[in-house]
Amino acid sequence: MKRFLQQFGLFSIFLSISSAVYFYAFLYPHKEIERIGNETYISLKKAVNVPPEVKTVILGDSTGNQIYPNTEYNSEIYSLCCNQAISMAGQYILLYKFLQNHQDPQAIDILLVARPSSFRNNLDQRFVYNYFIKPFYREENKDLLTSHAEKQIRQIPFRYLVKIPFIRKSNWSPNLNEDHRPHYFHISELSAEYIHKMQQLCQEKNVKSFKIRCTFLSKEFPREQLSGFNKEIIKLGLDQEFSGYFNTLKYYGQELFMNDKVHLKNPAIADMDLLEKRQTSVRE
Amino acid sequence: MQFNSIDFPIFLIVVFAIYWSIPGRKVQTQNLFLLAASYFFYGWWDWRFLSLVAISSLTDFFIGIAFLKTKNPRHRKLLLYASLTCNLGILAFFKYYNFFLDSLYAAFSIFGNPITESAHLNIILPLGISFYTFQTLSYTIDVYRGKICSTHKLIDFLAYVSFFPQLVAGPIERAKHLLPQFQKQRSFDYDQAIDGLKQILWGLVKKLLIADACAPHVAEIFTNHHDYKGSTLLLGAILFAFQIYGDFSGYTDMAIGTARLFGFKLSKNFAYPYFSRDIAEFWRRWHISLTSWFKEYLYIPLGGSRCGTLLNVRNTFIVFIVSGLWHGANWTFIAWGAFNAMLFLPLLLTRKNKINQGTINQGSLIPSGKVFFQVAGTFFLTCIGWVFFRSETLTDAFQYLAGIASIREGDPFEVVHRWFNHPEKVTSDMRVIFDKILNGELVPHIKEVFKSVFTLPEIRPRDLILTLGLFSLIEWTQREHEYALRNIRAIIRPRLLRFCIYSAILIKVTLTPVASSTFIYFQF
Repeated sequence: MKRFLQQFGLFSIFLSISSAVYFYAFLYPHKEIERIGNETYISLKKAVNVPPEVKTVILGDSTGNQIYPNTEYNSEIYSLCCNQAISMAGQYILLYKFLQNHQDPQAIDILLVARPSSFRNNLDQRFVYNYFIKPFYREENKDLLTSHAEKQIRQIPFRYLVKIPFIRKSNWSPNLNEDHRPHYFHISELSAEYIHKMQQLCQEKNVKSFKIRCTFLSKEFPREQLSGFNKEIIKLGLDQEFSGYFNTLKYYGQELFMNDKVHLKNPAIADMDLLEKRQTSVRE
Repeated sequence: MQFNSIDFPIFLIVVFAIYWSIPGRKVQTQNLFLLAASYFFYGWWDWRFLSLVAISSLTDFFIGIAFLKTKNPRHRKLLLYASLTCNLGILAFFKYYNFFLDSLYAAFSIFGNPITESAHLNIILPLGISFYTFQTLSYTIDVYRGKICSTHKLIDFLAYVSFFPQLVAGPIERAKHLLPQFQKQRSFDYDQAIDGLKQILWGLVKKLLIADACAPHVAEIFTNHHDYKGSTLLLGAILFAFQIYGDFSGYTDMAIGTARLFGFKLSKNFAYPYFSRDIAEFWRRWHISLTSWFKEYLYIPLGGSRCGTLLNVRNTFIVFIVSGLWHGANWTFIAWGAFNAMLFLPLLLTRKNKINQGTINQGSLIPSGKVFFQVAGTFFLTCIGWVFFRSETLTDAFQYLAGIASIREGDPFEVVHRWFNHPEKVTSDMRVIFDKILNGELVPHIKEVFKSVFTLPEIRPRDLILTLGLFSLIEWTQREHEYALRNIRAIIRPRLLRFCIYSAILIKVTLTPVASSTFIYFQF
């Protein structure tokens, strides 16, 4: 027994040291710019420090961020686009913060640009830890979370570790499984809930307009699935929020897309055409 | 309490420390303590069902005592029947009541007298009921047969039935093997304890890195099987084969390893079953304790193989179907049993069921072509069987298999698809099939099958496939040992390097959380 305890003790010490080495190597805190999901932190900062002259704010996924990079700013368009991984709950928090910090919400046009697949997010995806838990799961945002969002968050392992500043600033996340959503498009319960909330918030603040638009799609995009997506919108009572979503769709040749068939190789090709359309659509 | 939960290591350390600190290491005190710990372990899940464990154990203990008091064969038989009625009655009620009722309703419906009023009960299936019921039954049957003597020591017997490492998912221990270990002095053995820890570690790898990693892919593919093509469905079946092996044999490894820490040696339950050259060998390597239980207490009493061909066929089917039913109250398990019986029978009838024994390709790292194809073929057949095991209903299972063969609604062979849903239409549809074959519509369909099966699946978990490949390679190279880490000391001499490997595994399994990780075999 003595020998066993010695060996066990020795191994425990070794395990503690190797765990510390592992944690040091993989969890070393990073600057915001080096962190996974750094575009989210940029949007969060922009949502809080709003210039008074902003008239149009754009929220959206990574394809939205390709057209309207959140690193750029002009007096007319203020982009808070980052990534679909933040979910509609994250988009709502960004919008909430923006409206709280803008002096004249009545003069604001709000546009949410996202591909159909971005509405599937139910806080159940692989990157949820780095994109949602770390930037948004904070005491100050707790009142903005619905019971469904909290239920989903409770299923995320090691969520409580983000209370440790070291972890929040690191690139570590638990090794979550790939998301196993069905390959057709649909709107998650979380997205439906938060789109309704965004609409309500805009009404409460008397925002000039709130519209949802799609970014670019490839010509190989399975268009037949869009009819199912549309049916779901009607079923969930989101037809008002999504009005105009389908008749402003824009398709580009597959050769212009990256291997993921989602992002453009060169976003510049989309800018003028889409930008014009978006602005016209927003102003209408 | 589950072996892979955070509660278990704490429980284990406390129990281990107290167990070996008992003054004088008195067997009775140790057994009493183990009994209390085991009941605590089980009660952690639901204390109400502890009564069932106690009823089952006490019934067989007192029947065992009663056996000592009578030599009258008629009385002894009555005692045996009393035990069988009590144990199997509890099992039948908790596990099969609703299933039998459903089957009865279905039978009435077929004969045109549907029953509209439901007598279903909302019954919770007690954890591990099939395991401990079979364990206590083996005691009574062995005492009845005179193979072992009844024990007078109640604590020993209760501790034997409820021994926490194997209480909820086996191995199903025979009294003649485990009960004597409770009755003799146990001393701490350093090598055994280290071996136990290594086996627990390997069990964790199987459960957390293999089974739990496969689970979400399997769930997605089996739930939405209509949406996927043949290659994806085949991948789903293969992943489930790994999932169930990792899950169940992982649990067994942790159970055996834990028991070793307390000075007990449990029976081997798995012997690298996917490295089997035929289905008979697979059944000698998969869930060994259950297979041998059925062989000893059902197959041989029925006459075994020493009877005519027809009886032999009957006995084989009975054993496999009962084995399927043991796993769950669903026709899918019965179909799984029947499917395995059909694979096993040709080997049995041609007396080739025992040609492949011992370690496969012993002493050689690379398998011969023949062995490779034998193993691959057996694995493929096993995967087909697992489709029945994993599916919710028989219709789902048939549709899944039809999906692998690209038989979908709307194609030239949709009639086959219809059979799976409406078996009564088989005869009328046969003619249609022949017509289609005669019209030459078979060729394009075969092309379609090849296209469907030999294209890249829609779901491609590359990391997981690499992990499974590495896991299979480790298991293959270590197949001569009881479990894969057993011989690590001989392969990796420096202790520091071994410590590095153990630490890496522990860090990896600790940081690989999954949403749901209940052991599949708990439900049985």
